[in-house]
Amino acid sequence: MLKTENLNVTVGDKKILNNFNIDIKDGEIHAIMGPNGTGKSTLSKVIMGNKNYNIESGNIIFDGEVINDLSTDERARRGLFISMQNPISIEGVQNSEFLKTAINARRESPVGLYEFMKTIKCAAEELDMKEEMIHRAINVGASGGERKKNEVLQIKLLKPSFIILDELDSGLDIDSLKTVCENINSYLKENPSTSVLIITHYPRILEYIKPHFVHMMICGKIVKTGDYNLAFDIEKNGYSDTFTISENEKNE
Amino acid sequence: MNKLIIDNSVNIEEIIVDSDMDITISFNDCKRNLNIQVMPGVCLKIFDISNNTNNSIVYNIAESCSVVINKLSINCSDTVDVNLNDMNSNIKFYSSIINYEDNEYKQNINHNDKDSISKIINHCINVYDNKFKFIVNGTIKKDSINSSFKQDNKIININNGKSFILPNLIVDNNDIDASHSAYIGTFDEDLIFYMMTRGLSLKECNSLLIKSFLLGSMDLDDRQRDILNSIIEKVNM
Repeated sequence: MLKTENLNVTVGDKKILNNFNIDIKDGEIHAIMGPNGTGKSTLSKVIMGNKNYNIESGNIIFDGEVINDLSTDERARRGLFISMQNPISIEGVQNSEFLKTAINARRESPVGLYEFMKTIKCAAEELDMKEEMIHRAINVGASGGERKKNEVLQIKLLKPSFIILDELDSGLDIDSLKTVCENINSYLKENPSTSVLIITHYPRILEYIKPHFVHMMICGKIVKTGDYNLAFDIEKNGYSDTFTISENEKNE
Repeated sequence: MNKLIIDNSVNIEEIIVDSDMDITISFNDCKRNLNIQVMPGVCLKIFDISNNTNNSIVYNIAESCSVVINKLSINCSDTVDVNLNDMNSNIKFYSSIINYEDNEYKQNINHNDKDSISKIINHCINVYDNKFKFIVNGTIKKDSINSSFKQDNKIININNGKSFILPNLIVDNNDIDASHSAYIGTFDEDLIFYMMTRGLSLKECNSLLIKSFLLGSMDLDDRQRDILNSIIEKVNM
């Protein structure tokens, strides 16, 4: 599904990703944990083709195709999706109009209004979203939780095959996190080949969306990979201790 | 409510509005002078679509009037004077402009009496590498105690246009509320990135952002919004 090969990325003179390698196969859920400023969110933006980051070397491969040179919208239309850490608000652009345009960008003929409204209302209901959110300007006046729910609403409508969840749990209370994760899990059940990359600081979200692999990322590269339990080791011991223990184990 | 339509075929220079009214103004390729007198206590709504004009329009607004103007101009060099002549006169003026050539839009807002309120929003999309200038003068006279003047000017350059905003605010009373702002630039890169991550092309992003920029602040009914949307869609940007 999605693979990076020796990816080196800079912003200005600063190297952010350092020979970064990851291989996420169809239907797999991977989680990346790491201290602040280690390049986790950069990775997500680079995968989505943000022009502020320079790929110095290496490749991003999606479904067997090198996508380094594809624009952000082309990547999205191929099935990549990012749920943003801080979803922005867009004054004057109505949520439903925006989503309809996004759906139509993936189709040859435009979606019917009745079909669209039925789908969006049903998806909003499943997320416990107020119907007025659909007709409001994108995220204007919305709380952190409502913004995150809006991101998941977009997943349900745009049907991506690869989803990046960048700190989905930030800004969500326990009940909302549960609702949002249940919706993602049911989406994954309906679309079993969909892969997910979860970027998080805390294992709490991983209790709801169980990853097959957990990676620890430090200084722009993955330094340790394990299963679900690695997340709890990190929470218990911190990043530096977990990494040191791992290095010592290797030396022994 | 009474309705009046003024277009190129109507040869008129002065209108006296003495009862609540909706006026639609539609001028094309012309240079006209128009004086609109709003009599005390009247609610007036103006829906103005101007195309390639060099008009001069003066609004004289009397006591306790409420005036709302929604004006979409395409490639115009108009001058508008608003005189809030008596107490409790109130205007909300939304001007949105699509500009292709070297043009300037002059607006003079004069608060001539106490408790007068003006809310002015001027938004322009400057399409090509041409010049566009907003000259917005706000004057609050000595007698205009408790008046409020709010002005917001923004120009988005789609290409490498040379845009200017000259916001002047002359205040001769300490007990008033006044502010003005000016922005010239492009659409926020983060907005564009967010929209593109949902699969919208740059052109589609710009189209949605332009519509929201030009119409987002206006006070329109659904029919008027549809009319303006279809005009903006037809304009090649």
